[in-house]
Amino acid sequence: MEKCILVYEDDLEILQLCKTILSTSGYRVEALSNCENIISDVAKIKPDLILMDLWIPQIGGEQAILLLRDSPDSHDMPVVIFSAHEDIEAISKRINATSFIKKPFDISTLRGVISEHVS
Amino acid sequence: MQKGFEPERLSELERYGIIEGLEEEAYNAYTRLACALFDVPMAAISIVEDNRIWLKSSHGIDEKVVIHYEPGLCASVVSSENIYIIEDALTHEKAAQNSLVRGPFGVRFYAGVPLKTPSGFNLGSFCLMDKKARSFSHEHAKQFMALTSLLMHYMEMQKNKKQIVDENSLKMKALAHDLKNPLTIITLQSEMLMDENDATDDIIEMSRQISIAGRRINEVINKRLFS
Repeated sequence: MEKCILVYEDDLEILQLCKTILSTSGYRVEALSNCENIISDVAKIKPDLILMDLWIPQIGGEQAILLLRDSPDSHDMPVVIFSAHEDIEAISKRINATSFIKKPFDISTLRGVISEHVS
Repeated sequence: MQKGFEPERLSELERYGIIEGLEEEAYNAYTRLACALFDVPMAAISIVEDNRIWLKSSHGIDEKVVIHYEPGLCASVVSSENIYIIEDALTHEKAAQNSLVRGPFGVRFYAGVPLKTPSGFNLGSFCLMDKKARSFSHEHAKQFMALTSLLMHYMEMQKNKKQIVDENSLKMKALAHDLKNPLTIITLQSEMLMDENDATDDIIEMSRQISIAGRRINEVINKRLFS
């Protein structure tokens, strides 16, 4: 059964590119541009991994991941954050993300990190 | 210290960026000058931070001397509005109990002016000390307040400088961030073009050049904007 990746990214071009790249890698991809309703999104979509932009509007990637980690249904879900933030590694550790991708990234980095952590 | 405003006072102190342990000649010049002008052996610029006191600069004071947060001297200046003068600490009820007075350090004379910011918060004190009792004239008090006012102008300039540097740094980081999203698109799109089944050699080469240019722009951003 194909694995599902839920991508949150407010830049619609990057969102579409991630969707295309991950779909051609054999994943089912759900792409959303805001993470306001992350708990209900996850309950409905049941992803195997979340790829989350850190600087997404509304509640922001950090807060969204903290919400996920507090929820019994998603506290151990693999979450990969991606951002141009220079301190992304430290932020990733602080919010207990599974891994991180620093922007700009190439296709093999995206595919590699996702395949390493998708359960 | 303005009671009930301690978090705001500490925030104000942070804005001034006065770093503990960092030796700065400008502050040392003030303490040296104070000793020379008022003919006292010791002068200090003390900062009161969350129930503790540390010296930004001192002249004539042994580094091993420990300043505790206790009433009578610097801590009392920070909670006062005006110059605080104790000509003989042994005859002053509060000061006589201070460990710098009753201990081996043996302070007898103390004059301190609060370091009051334009927003009205006292960050610490500029003080003069002597191990013998002495008088301090009204004229001396006026001169010492004027010197403290100069010190505050210097601190204000440093704060403004820090604010400009911090704002520029934030702008640079935001700019770098804003540039990296389109760079991500350039990188991914050029790679996808190279992977197209019907891509000609020319298209593959052009895509490769675009990808290399993208990496170079990223290196420039990291080098110029983040360093």
